[in-house]
Amino acid sequence: MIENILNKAAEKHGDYTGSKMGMWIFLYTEMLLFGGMFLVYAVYRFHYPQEFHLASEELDITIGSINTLILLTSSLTMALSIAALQKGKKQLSLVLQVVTMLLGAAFLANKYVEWGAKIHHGIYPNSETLLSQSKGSIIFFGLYFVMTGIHGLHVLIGMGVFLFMIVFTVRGSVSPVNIVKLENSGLYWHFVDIVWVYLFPLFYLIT
Amino acid sequence: MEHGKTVHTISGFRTYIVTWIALVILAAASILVTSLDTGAAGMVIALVIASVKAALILYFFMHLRYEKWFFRLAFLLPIVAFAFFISFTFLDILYR
Repeated sequence: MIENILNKAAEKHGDYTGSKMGMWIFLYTEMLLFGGMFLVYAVYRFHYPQEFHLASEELDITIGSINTLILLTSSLTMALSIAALQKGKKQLSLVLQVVTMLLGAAFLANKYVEWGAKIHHGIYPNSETLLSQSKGSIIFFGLYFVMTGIHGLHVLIGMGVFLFMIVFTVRGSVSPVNIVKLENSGLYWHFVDIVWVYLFPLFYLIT
Repeated sequence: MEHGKTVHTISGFRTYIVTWIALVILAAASILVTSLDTGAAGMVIALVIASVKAALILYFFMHLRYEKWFFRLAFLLPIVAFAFFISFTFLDILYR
């Protein structure tokens, strides 16, 4: 009997600060994962400025800009969904979580079109068309596919996380008094947004 | 810290919407700047704008402004580590 009560108390107690800290430490490792790739990008941009210039002009700024708008907006809906749940507006929070997930899907759909066009033109890692180009161009598109690919994978994982959060919120295990799971999902999603904030100028804008 | 309760400061919707508007304007500004200046200046400005956007996301969306001093300070750790990587790599490349 007493054990039951203690177990329930432990379950409800949780460790809010510990959960947050764990998520932040994970995000530090993620920063260094992407940081390593940005470092490689910087080194090769330094070695092949002219080739990077020509290659980056082949990327579609319009698609990149639309994806920037989509991800920034999804960060907004994510932040709003937490605020809504904190205020006890469960329905609104759920709607905003679903919208965030759909915006993630829209981002990936856009990416699919963009990659599809590149692959259609024969530009993909190890393709004959790409290998016949200059070394700097091969490296640029290699980095482009790897970095936007790993970023896209993060978006996909984030959408999977939201699926869980939506179920948790419906069931009530994520609630105004126990919101840390949703907050940590938000931290992850905003981090993925920040990575794109850097990818967008580095690949699409700076030529 | 109180047990069993999570006490947060709750941001109003308006703060988030204003942050989002600022982010969109900054994104548009970086597109404009890089279309006008394709040289090194445009590159530097675009990266500075990106860093301002990242700071806004961290501070408002990721709630760093409500966090304890520890979270704000610890965040410098990966930044400093990355700055080391970048600077030492380029010291190697430039002076090899």
